[in-house]
Amino acid sequence: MTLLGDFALLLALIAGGWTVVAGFVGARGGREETVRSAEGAMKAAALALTVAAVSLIVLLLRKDFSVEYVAQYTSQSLSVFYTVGAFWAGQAGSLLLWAWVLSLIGAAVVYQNRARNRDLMPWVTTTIGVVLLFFTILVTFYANPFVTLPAAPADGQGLNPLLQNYGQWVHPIALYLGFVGFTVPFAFAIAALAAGRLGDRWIRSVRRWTLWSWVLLTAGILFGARWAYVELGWGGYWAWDPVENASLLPWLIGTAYLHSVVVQEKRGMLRVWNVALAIGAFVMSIFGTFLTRSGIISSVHAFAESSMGPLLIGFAFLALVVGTALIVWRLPMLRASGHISSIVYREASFLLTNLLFVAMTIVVLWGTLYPIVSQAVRGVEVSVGPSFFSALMAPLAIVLIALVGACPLLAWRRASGRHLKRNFTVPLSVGAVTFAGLTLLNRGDNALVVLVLALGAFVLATVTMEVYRGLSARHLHHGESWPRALLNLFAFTPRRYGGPIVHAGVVVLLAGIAFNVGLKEEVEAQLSVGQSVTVAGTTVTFEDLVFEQTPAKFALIGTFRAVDADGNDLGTIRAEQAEYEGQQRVTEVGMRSTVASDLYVVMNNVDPTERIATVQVFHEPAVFWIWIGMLIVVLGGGLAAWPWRTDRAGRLGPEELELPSAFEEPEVAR
Amino acid sequence: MIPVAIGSFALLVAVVYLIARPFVAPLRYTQDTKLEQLLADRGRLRAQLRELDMDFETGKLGEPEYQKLRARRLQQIEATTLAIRETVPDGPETSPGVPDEELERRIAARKHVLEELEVRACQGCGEVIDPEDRFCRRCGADLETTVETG
Repeated sequence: MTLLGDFALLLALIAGGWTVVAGFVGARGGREETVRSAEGAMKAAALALTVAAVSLIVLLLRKDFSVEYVAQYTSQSLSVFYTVGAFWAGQAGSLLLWAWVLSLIGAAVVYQNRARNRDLMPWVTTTIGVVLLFFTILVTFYANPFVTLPAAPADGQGLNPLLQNYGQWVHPIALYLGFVGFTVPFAFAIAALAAGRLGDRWIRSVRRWTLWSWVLLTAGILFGARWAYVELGWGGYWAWDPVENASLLPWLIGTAYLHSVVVQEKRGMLRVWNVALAIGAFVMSIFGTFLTRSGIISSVHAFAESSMGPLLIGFAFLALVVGTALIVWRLPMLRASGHISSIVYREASFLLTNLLFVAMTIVVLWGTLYPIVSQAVRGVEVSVGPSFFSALMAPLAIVLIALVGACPLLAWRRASGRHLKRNFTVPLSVGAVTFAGLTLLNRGDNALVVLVLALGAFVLATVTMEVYRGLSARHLHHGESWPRALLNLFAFTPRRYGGPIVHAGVVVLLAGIAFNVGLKEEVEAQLSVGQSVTVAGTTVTFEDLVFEQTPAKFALIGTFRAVDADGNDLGTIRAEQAEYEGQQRVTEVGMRSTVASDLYVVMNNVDPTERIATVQVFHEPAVFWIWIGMLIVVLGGGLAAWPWRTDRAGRLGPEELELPSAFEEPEVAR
Repeated sequence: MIPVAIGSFALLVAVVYLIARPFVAPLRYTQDTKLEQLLADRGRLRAQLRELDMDFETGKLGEPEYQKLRARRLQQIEATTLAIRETVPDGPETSPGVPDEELERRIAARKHVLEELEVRACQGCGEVIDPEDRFCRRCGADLETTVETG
């Protein structure tokens, strides 16, 4: 099986190489057959990498410990669920997954554009081919999962216990799909620049790819945060860890891109921004991979460290240089059609959004890289803690919420004073009343939380008004019932109304974070069985400590009883410290979650003979709303990206040969 | 070992076939290209028209701009529909719908109105353009040399 896997990798390498060569020759004026052959090679690479991936899965399931990768990440006692999940637990497997997913996406793009965008496709194929070839080279020569051991051990080392969570099936996969998906807008941006086709066709062609990549990246980050929260036992969900930042960088640039392209489609402006952001999102996804795998910065993801850092950073740099050179070359063609003459136009608010996201990206990038720069320049290692990020990101996030509320209320091209008054009166009033009410209730305390909630109310009022106006318009102008109008609102204009849902989710998310950061409490104490601690009015008593032994692990399980300030019994919480065979000692967090707050118990340094442990108890307000906010964001993104039947170009049927009835009005304009 | 050898050989044949086929077999998609493009174009125009209507109905676009853009979109949809019919002269049996002559009459009438509204369009792709536009926002053509009215 390793032979088949290795052979498949070799074929993928050859096919990837041919994709680049034939694609480039075709793009430089070669024959159509050459371009089609390059596209065929992309499909061939996808087939070969599928065979390689299936070979690895078979080797994992067979627990063939003669294969180094299998011996390193599985063991006899590992369940089938995590055995297959071990595919992407290590460097070699996760790179194979990357190359495999990219090849499948490349083949899908080729198929999707078999009769479309023929002027762009040679460059698109070449660009995706270069990226695919790069990752296939990494998998074949630098991190090959099919390397065998001289002698097979009796059992494998097993999977890192921290990875034995359902998140192993969601977080990495969603992130990889998001990262890899950004290759498509990158390839089309490069193609548009190279072919000199800089209208908005390339943007429309990748709209759905970009939206889905963004949705999956968001979902990946969401599940990563949730996983860190329930598994790592430090009472948090985001620590500005370099690898967390690595996923945030392409997300920030990708989010800016999704907003920015709307202006090009509507007004023909921000063209330079759009090609730059499409290239930037891709460069950041490679740079993020470099941060995760180079070992240059210590992180919870250290299991994926390797020596391929220089190759990854070199590739990201190459993409950046090529992209920048193409933009500079095509600058005369990228000049905007229109111009922004007032800050109260919608175009201006989109530009401001771009600037804000880029500012956030610079903050995250600088905070992540500063320790390396400091080490290189001054020889002193400086750590940049969460306080740096919070101090700079919080004001930017507050301005962002204000923009999220204001932007949809502005009109394209022209905004009269009457129009502004009509649109802003209700949402601003809602925001102001919320601010005044909450300030009075809090007697001036918790100013940050109050400000975020007031801005959140402003945004929610905007979203409600937008959706209501859309519904009214459909109800009045198209005579639709309210439920039908709601359905059609999403079906006919998915992006327009998926957007507000995403905005509502962002507000819920940021309000949850503001609540959590502002009102979180934490107590740490050494407790014997029978002793208690109190946090945020809740008393937590260490009731019992027992042992549990299974073939896979040895665990010390603590039982804690929680009683609130009024004496109500909130039930028991079970926290655990476990030692897996051949692996490190890990803590399993005990948690009692409600809509209002979580009670989060972590047990460390357990002494089973004295029945003593170091216990940390966290009162975590509003965490539930952080997850809900993130889910709403993903749902809104999914709604915007969903291929609604009414939004498709349509297959050739009788109805396609007629004018759609909705457009059969005899008058020219209403 | 034998299944692996067979599998490897089958994979090799498939890879060679996918790469070499375009050089030896005729291209299958050429005939479909124009029709697919037209259908995609019309789908896009329909989506743009819906967006335009919503922009106007929710107060995001002024009346004069809306009238110009809508008239142009409708004309483009009609023209594309006509082109689709011409591409598939023996297409599936359809309900009577709007006859070709009526469609042509409407396109001509709309062109007249567009002239009255002084709507300018890119000659390359038909996109509506503003007086200050230098390049077409859709196809990127230089508008100083390629502009038509209506």
